[in-house]
Amino acid sequence: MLTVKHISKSFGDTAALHDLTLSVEAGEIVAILGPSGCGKSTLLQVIAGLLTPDQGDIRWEDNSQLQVPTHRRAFGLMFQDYALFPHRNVFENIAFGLQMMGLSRPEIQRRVSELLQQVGLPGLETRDVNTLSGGEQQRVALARALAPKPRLLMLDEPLGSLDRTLRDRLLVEMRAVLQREGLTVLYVTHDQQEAFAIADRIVVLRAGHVAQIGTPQQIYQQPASEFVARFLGMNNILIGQLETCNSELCLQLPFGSFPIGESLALTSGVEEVCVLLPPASAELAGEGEGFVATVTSHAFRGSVSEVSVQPASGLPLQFEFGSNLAVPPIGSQIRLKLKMDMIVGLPDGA
Amino acid sequence: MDHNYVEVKKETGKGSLRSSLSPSLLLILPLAFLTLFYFYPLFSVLQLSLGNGDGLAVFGSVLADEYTRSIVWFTVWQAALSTLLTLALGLPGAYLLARYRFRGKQLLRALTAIPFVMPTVVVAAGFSALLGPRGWANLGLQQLLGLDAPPLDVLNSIWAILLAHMFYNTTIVLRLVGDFWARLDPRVAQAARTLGASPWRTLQQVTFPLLAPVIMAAALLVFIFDFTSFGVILLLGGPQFATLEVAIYRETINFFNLPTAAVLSILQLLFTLGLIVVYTRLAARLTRPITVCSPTVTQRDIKGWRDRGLSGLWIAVMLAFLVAPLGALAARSLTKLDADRGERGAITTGITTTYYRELFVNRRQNFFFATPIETVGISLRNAGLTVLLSLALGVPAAASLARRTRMGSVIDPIIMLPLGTSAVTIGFGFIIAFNQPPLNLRASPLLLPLAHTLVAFPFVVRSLLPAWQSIRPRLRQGAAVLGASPGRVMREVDLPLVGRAGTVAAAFAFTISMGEFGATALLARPEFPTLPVAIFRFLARPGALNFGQAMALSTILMGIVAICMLAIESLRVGNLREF
Repeated sequence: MLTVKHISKSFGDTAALHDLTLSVEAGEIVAILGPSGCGKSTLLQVIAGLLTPDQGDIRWEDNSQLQVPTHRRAFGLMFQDYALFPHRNVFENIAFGLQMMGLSRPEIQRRVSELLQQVGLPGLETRDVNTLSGGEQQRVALARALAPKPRLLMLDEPLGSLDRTLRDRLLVEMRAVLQREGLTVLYVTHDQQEAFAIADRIVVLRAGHVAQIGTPQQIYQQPASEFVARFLGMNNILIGQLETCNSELCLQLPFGSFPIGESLALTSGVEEVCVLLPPASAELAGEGEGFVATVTSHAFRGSVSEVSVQPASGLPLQFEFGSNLAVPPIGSQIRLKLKMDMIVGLPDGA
Repeated sequence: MDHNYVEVKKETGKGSLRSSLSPSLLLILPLAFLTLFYFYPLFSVLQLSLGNGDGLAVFGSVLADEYTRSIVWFTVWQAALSTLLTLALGLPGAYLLARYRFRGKQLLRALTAIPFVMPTVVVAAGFSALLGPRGWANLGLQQLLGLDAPPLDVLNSIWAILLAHMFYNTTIVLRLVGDFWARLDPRVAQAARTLGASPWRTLQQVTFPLLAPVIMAAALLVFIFDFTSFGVILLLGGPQFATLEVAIYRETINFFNLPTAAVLSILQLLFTLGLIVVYTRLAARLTRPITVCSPTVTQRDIKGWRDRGLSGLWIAVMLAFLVAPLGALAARSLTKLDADRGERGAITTGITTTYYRELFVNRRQNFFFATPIETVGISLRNAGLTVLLSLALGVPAAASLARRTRMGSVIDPIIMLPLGTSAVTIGFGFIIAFNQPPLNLRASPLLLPLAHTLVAFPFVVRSLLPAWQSIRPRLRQGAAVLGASPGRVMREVDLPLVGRAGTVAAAFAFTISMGEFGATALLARPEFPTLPVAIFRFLARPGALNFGQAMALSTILMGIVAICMLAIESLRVGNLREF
């Protein structure tokens, strides 16, 4: 297994990675998720040995890898934009790592054609890589990275430069290939959907720091900070006051006061809290229930409808409703009820 | 953005000057010039080489001659060896410049442009000042070890030739390979590393194959320059060495054996044109799709003692190589180190302005009709005329070619032909063609400017062309929409954009004419020697005073060229990529 311990790396005055620690278990797919410029690619380069960290250690099964040169680490890296060798054809690209291992010609041929089969490009051995389409290049790059059976495979935005439809299809295929090979994988992406779809665990990075580590479900349901929530597209973040009303603890928001159930993980004793209302945390309420808001816009998103509302006071909020629900027209007033067990308390100032 | 760019690019070629002159009309003058002063002289040479009706008899006898073969052989092997040594020095430098950031890099880059514009006579004088029998190294060692004779015998040996060729051409490797390498996506090599290739195998199997075309192209260009080397061989190699160029010169000037010279010229022409065709093919292959990216992401700082040591060593060698001969030259022109002729006993060594003052004296025994300093005036006048002529021809040619017509694509290589023709061949052609009626220009003050224009013309067109092509119709339209009158558009858009390039082109033409030696050596009249010819004569004469004056004149020429180069560098858009 891979352990990254307290890694720091700066370029001149700018710190790309700061005291970063994470681990990847054998056979696990971990996604590194973060906006561009958060240090994702730098991290992969440090792990691969293409960059030397200023501080910290990279360990594989308790052995430090820092003194091991890149080519002996057996860590595969699939680059964003693939970095295929332009002077070699498809076969020669995929065979490269196998040649470095010193395999015999028949073995190499067998493995390459097996891989081409796996990535869905059988018989493409002699094609010039410069004539491949974006999707084909992606598959060749994946096959090349898989070929030497690296003990750790790192993928840097592997679907980043493809269009949406192709991405969705390749994502499914890639997950199947990765699982079949039983590989330990570090998957870098800025796209939460991709990370959710492929990863066992997700590491959210922010400016070289770890912002949160958890399963996709944990990350989505319990974002650890305002940054993570906003990065995942959840913008209903409000400051509320805790107070006692009707002899129970209530959360006072600009548009109303709401009793807190057991599940809301808020530290008692604090008076002001930052809370996130996830998109699915509201439902239509009957007369006399919840709070009143005006519908300002809505967008159909397939399985859900996203509705923006303006409560009586405070900032506008966005919620998702099942798309089979008839969406109230813009300008109409609706009553909404909060599902208190879904509301997340966020640490201050993050 | 991308889409927009493509759209604009498509529009560039057409319509920019449509309202004024047609492209073919613009080409009349340049083509007439080339016909008269390039094709006609070459045709005369060809005629002479074929003899008077006896077919290929002259040709055959010259080719069968053992001497001819030995010259061709020497020309080839010295060029090949020079090229290998140039690569050995240039490739590590190209790597250093391509992949590392370090302080003073821009300065180093600028310094490497020096050899490209330095006239051969200046470089020869520089190497003489450093390594010659009267140079710093020899006189210093003599003093130090109490020797009677100069211990270093570098001058008049193959080493002087090889060193000078390396001095000249390392820049080509640095710029061509270095620029390409800098844009080569480092992730391709990194991918090889993550696939288990050691640094050495990565270099061998990934980086080198990707660089191979550009290395080949650079090597070929260096080979062409070494192959057509004239001044270096004549001035530094001494009488025992002759390339084809030098042989043509000697057959003409020393033995007046014009038919032999004609055959050698044709031979030289065939060789160079053949090499250039191969080079053009190779250069075209460089456009093959290759992942490129901005140098800012590919470069890193120099770290670790090994990197520091190796890069420091290379920079030191390169600096010594670039600066030492020229520095030695300037210093030597102001320092008296050895006795003048007739001076006996202990001599006083030290700083002196004697050599410069002597330039203003017309000594009775002098081989000049005037004072040496007047050669500066002669060269300046030639250079001025060359600038006027080459701009008068180059501006319409560039304006026409900028429109990318079908005819233009045929004419373009024709305009570049003089570039592939050695200066000595051009000079020889002039001697044959313009020495008798109908066109006797032997005594014309325009003879040298015309020959220099022929040499400078391709450079002028190549400097102007990109600027002209860069003016998109949209720029003019934009200015017009903003209220600029047509005259104002000309002044605000065309002039600033082409004007800069025009200045660069003029500076190129001026520099080329100031330093031109190949054609000039054959064409300069004894009573009107140019600056390089005077330096050549001074270097060939014995005596400390003559040597000192050669140093002084060379330093003056170096100064003039340096000023031009600074002008070019400060005005140039882009860099030295299109040769």
